[in-house]
Amino acid sequence: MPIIIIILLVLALIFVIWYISVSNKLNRAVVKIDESSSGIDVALTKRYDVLTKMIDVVKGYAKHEKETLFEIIKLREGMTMDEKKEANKSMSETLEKLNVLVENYPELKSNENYKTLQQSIADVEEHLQAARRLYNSNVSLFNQLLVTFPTSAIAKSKGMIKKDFFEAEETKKEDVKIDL
Amino acid sequence: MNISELKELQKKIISIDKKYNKIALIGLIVILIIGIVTTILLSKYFMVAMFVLPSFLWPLMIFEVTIAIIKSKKISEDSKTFKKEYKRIFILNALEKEFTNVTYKPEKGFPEEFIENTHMMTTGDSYESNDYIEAKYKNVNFSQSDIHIREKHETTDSDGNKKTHWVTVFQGRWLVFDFNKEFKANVQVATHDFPSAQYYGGENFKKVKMEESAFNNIFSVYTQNEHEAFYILTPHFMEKLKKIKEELNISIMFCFIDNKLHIALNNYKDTFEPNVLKEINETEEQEKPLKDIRTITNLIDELRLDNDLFRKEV
Repeated sequence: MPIIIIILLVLALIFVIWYISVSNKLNRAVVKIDESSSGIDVALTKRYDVLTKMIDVVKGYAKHEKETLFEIIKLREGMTMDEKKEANKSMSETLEKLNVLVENYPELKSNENYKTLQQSIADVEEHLQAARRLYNSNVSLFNQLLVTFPTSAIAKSKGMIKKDFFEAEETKKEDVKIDL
Repeated sequence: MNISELKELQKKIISIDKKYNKIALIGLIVILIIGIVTTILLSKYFMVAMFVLPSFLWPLMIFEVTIAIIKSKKISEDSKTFKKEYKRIFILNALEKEFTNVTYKPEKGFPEEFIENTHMMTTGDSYESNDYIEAKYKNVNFSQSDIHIREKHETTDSDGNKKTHWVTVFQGRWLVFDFNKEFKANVQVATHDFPSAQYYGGENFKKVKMEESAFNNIFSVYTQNEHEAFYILTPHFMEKLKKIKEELNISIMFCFIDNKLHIALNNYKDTFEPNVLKEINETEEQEKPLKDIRTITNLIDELRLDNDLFRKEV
């Protein structure tokens, strides 16, 4: 066999091994993004649960306000990242409304159950921030791979496109601060 | 024992030390003089005289070592008593001023199994621990001990002779605090210059890169669960860790284990140890432990461990 064919075969083999390894690297990055995305789902669900409990407590004090608070929260399985962002935004708005409402009901402010829920929402928000940062960190690494040659070529051949970040709301960019 | 009795004891130790230092010095001079005189007397016989002075080195060495051993035996018991009483008077007092629920056991430390069970650090071939403190500051429970971990290294020279020497892997303070967040997986954060003896709790631990490169340049993060690492290490908390590293300027390890925060300060010091031969100055002695005590209070204040915002779950 002429030496040139052997060289070509070796080069082809190197290319195949390299292609598989880069392809696996990209696949692993996608899996990590999916995993961290489910972390956001868990955190959002927790936030929703605590918020619902808070609304239940508020019900007893501000009956006429409850419908307005309830109608804006929508959470379901299999949401896109944009829908998650929207749901998160709605929950933040609800929480802000709740905080304003509580100011008008001093007895609610001193309610032990409500205080515990406030502590819990702070913890849940920390988990949400952690999930968001982990997700964004994985997205950032993936997007970097997508713009780096020659990995970008393989990503293009696999139809991979840049992923969106789960942006923090302006008020959440700092650590959670809740006055108790 | 009160302070004046402690001072008396120290005077006794210093006088024994001085006495034996004098004997050692006189012995040195006498042996050298005998050696030099003998060399001069035998100078006619050049070949013999050449070996006289070196032959006096052995008796000189034996004499000096013997004196050192006798001295150490004479003062060892008193030194022990002195250190124990010094710590009871000055260290315990200082601790009680700053903290509540204080338990101080100068001769006890964390058991070897305690460090082993953290799975964050090897205990080497020699493990020593003392100055055990347990107390409360701003409602935060903590404990601490001095720890000295060494490894035995053997080398073989060209003639096949084996030599053993001990290498310090870690020497410093190990502090354990109640942590104000509940977490489900353990996390280790160590400065890159921290001794390489840690073993990250086995295969379940993997390296995590945080989003801030300035933090990654100083610390390595290992965890069993990435989410928990991001949950514990908020951007604000990472800033605090960087600040602590900058202020203390030593290699540090922070371990988050079973809802506790372990901090290992590798400062190559035996904290709270008094110098037996340095005369006691009451005002100075009361000031001395404050710096080491403030390390504890600064850590609690800086990391806001007293903030129980995240403790309760519904």
